[in-house]
Amino acid sequence: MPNNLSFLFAAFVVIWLLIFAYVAFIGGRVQGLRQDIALLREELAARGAAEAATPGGEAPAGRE
Amino acid sequence: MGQHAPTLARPVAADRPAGRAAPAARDRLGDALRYLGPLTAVAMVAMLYMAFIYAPTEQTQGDAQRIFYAHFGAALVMYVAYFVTFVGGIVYLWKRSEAWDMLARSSAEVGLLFTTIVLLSGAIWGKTIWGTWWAWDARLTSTLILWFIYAGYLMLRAYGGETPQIARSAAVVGIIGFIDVPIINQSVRWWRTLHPAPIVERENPALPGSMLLTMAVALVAFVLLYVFLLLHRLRVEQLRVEVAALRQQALFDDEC
Repeated sequence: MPNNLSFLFAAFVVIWLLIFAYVAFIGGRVQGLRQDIALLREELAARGAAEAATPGGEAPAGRE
Repeated sequence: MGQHAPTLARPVAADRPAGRAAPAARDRLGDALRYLGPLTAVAMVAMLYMAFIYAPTEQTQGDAQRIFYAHFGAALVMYVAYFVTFVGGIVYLWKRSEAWDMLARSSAEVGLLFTTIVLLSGAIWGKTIWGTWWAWDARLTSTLILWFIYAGYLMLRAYGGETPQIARSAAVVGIIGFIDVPIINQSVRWWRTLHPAPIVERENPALPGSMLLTMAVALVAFVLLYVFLLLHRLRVEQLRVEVAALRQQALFDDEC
């Protein structure tokens, strides 16, 4: 009976490396998108606050 | 401009913490992932235990035959993943529902991962039993073609832009590409191949019960892994939609 343990382990190492690499890749994308969302929300909230601070909620002159 | 101020002061998405655009849908995904993660891990450990320890050593191939359990599980899940892309593409073209397009795209990406696993584990297994990493055998070649078809599908999605036209073109690629799946499945019957014919479909299974049970556990483990990865990938799609909506809102504000 042939002893092919090294090939067996190589195959499973490759499989698990691919799976973990993909999970890490997805995790990185989720993190990046969440950061984008947080930044965009901050920006929109800051704009909203600036609008609210304008007397009567009117836009600054020249913007309409 | 003034009439938009209340909306900007309290944008729809700003009421929720970062990364929580669609609470109901996101929570369902999050809940599913919370349960599915440990379940998948347990199934994978069980699969490894059965493949390495429980299943008997095959007489002619030796321990290398144990690669088969993961190779088989990944191959079946690969079919499932592209079937989901196929169905998602058809429903998207029919109903123009973005949710189905997201599902098709996500499943194609996960399917490509499993195709890569099938090709690489098959190459390593082939080296031990055939003495070569690769042969231009009908099943191997048709599987490689499948890899290229769905790599092309994903490249189209990645570089073509986020337009309905690209989504429609990709759906067509995903549907036509699926034709290769039955060809792969039947290749060992239609042509003389190095790849062995199915061993489970025969009237008298060529495998002992312990090997069949290990195959079944491997299949369950890989199906769970597929669903787990698909849900993670769908979460990326949800977040992308949310980013696009927020950017549009910001652009609308700029234009006003």
